Amino acid sequence: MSSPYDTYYAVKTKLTAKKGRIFKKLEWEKFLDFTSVEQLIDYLKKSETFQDILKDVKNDIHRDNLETILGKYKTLEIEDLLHYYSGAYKEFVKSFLIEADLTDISLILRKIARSEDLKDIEERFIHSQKFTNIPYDKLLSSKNANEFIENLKGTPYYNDLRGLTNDDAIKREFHIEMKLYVTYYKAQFERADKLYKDDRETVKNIIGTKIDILNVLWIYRAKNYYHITPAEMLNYSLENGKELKFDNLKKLCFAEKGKEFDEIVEAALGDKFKNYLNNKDISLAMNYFMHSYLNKNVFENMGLTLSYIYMLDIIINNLTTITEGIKYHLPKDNLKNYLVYRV
Amino acid sequence: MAIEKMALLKIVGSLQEMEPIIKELILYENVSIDTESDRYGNNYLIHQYETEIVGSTECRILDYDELEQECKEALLTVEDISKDLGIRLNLDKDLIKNNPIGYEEAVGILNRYKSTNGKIVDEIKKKKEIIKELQYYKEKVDSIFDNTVEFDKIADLNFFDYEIGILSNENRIRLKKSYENLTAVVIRIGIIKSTVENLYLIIYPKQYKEETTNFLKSLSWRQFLLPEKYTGSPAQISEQINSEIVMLEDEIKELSGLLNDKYQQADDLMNKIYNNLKLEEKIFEIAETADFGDNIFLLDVWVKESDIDNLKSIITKISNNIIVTEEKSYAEAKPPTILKNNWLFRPFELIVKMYGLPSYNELDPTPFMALTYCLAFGIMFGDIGQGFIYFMVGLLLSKKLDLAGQLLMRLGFSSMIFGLVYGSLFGLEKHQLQWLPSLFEGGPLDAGNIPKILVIGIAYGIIALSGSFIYSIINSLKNGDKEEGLFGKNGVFGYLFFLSFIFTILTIIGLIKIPLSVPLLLLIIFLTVIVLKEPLANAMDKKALFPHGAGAYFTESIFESIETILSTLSNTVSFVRVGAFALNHAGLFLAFMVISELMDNVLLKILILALGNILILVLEGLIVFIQGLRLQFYEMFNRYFIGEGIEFKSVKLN
Repeated sequence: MSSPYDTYYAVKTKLTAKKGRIFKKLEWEKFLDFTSVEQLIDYLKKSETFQDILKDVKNDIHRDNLETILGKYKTLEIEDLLHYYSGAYKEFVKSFLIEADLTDISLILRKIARSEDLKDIEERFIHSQKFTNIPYDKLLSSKNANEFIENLKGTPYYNDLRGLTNDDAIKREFHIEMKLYVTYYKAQFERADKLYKDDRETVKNIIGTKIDILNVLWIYRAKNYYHITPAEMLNYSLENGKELKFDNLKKLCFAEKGKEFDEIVEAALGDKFKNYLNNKDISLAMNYFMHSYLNKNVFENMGLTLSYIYMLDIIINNLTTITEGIKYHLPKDNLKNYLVYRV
Repeated sequence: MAIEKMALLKIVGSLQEMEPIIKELILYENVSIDTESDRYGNNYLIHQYETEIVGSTECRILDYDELEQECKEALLTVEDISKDLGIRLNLDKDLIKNNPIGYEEAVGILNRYKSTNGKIVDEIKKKKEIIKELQYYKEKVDSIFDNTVEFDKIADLNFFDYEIGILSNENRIRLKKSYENLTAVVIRIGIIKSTVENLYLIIYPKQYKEETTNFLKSLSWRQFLLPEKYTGSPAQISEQINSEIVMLEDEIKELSGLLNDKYQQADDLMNKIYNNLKLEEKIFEIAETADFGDNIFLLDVWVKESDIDNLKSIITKISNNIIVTEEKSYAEAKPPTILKNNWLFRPFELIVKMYGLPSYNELDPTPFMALTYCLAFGIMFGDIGQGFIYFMVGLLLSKKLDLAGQLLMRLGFSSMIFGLVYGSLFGLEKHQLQWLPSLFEGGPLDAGNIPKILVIGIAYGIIALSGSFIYSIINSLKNGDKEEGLFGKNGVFGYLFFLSFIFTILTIIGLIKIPLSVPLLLLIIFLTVIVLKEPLANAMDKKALFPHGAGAYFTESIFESIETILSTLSNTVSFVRVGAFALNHAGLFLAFMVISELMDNVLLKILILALGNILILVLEGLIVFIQGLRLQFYEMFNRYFIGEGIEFKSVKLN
């Protein structure tokens, strides 16, 4: 395994350049003034960052479509980062490509369970063509959820979804999402274990923070939208959170909606997160928290790469929000509040 | 010791003779099909022969691609059937030559076979699947710790339901942490060894059914349901399942017996069909590459020149309606290459092919490469004992990997020869073993010998590079490239430049007593010729001197000449490594010698020397091997060898 320090400075230079291009040059203020999605896409097409990936896209783009393109963009960015790593470090960075696989697996399973047409579904795929281990052709040939899951045999996700019925796949969609995430983060932690101590601790902290947020988000959604018991919520929660360990998670699952819930979140993640949780959209709260966490900390190791990848998520989310806002003619001042990138 | 002479044969015949002809070509096993017929203007030839060859008008051109696919499918069926019947399929050349079964018949038999015996085969398959399922149940039932519990006794409780299911270890831990959140009795009743999973029994109040099943779903619980017919304790159930499996196995045996009666017959038949289909598949594949006219076909094939007469007589025996012409001038064609070397040099083809196969018009570098490589290896790794070990390992290896083993034997032999020169046996030298013969008094590391050995390295380099220049000049001139062959940096003047460079060095160090200005002047003259290579070549051909403009030409050419000076210097110096590794070889052993001298115990001394020898054999041997390759590939091949030849791939059945 080559020492991470061999490549650290190369990655740092590369990421500084990338960040400058992506984070600084996107003029959020300008986006808010656009009156149509076409204008936004026109603008992005001319930007250095997105021009390559957007060059074949028509302007009457659907939200799903833009999300797909941005998802693909993230995959390509991670593939690009892989050039700088080898050995355990490469495997670790590769693990971030898995998330796109999970998105695509869920997409296919959802459609198959509902007997929807799979025509052109490949166009919506965002996974890495180079590094995937998922037999997509086989999955696409499945006739129902059962067959789909059998076709997953040989992948790490088979055991998560085994026993899932077609009915479950429709009514308990969260089961698919959460079970796949459990395996995803488990794999990520296993790969992080093989890094050098300094890197290992940093990345576990960052991913742990992300897991905290995902857990809060999951329990919040479960309490408000799904009718499941606290014990089930707990079973679906992710392990290896930074602040919210098992006992805290359990408290959160069994807490009453509102005050009790907020207090536990505040104790673990701070009042900023709690405030966001109450006032705004929950996924916005999550992105905001992550954004300020990543900005607050200066990473001089593997954390730098991780922070870049998570920042990409936030940018993608922001862009999608803007597209929606423009489409539904949300007033500029209103839309502004939904952006993590402060204007 | 060269490249085999090839000839392009054009085989023209009527359509009805195409299949028999291709069959003969396949069986000949020394013919390569040329697929780039558009280069040869075959349309004209076809037109010419259409009037000469009278074919039956009933024969049509078929869709050979489709036929090939059909054939592949039929082959899959034969293989499937044979697998079910336990028949071994073999390619048999004699059978192919005189196969009583033709293609249509083979497909027909196959279809009939499927419809009659297919049912039995299907039934066997079905029963095998049922056995698999039963074994799945049995494994679970057998994994239950207490095989006396009767689960059906709790089936009819008034207020309680129960479920048996499977949990992974990870979810088992989650379940343990959540016991208090579950209104149910949870008992681990078994461990499934093959999948490292756990078998659980959950008993819960009926009113909590939904809650409990949802909770279990969140743990990816898989319910284990036994068919209702099984009752009693796990031991009894296991027994029931077992007897069912035995019964099914008996039934399979009986069914197989039915098939086996026909087995002897089927064995023979399937092999005939298989051999026929294999041949037809290849025929269709080749037919796809042929050119067609009305009722006639044309195939371009490459054969060794020595095979022409033999092949011609075989083919023309088929019918009078076949014309085989031999193409003498194939300026447009790219003949495939077959290397032809004697036993001494053949193993080195392995190394040449790693770089690339020589093209047909190129000189085969194998003999020169073999000699220089052995020489370099010997100089760098000269030791009688270690060379002998390589020789023996090569001998053993040659049983499994013929060429690689033979290669190692030759390198080992060369190492032994130079071991005699240095006077070295397993690293020990003359001052340790008085009787060792040696040309170097005091061994390689003697202060007086070090410069000598380094000079030997350079001298070797000069010889090796001279050879490379000669190869390069011959290759360029053979291809009619006067510019490179005469005036290029690897051509005649390049070589003269190289020689004057050597003379300059020799004059500077005082080995030759002439004024320095003489070789320097020559150096400048030859370099000027190299700079002017294109205009000089053009002048010889009476063409315009600078077709692309003089300015651009000189800019490029001057830079190239600077590169020539630098590369001549670096190429030559690069060969110092040959001497340096010879010293390194002795030096590495010296280190172990010193350590061993520090020891008092004789056994320890021997152990350390043995260890040193092993390390040298494994590690240094590899390094020397790679360094030798580097010299060949980078300093020498680069100069004279292109290696863009096409491999001669004879059509064969397997």
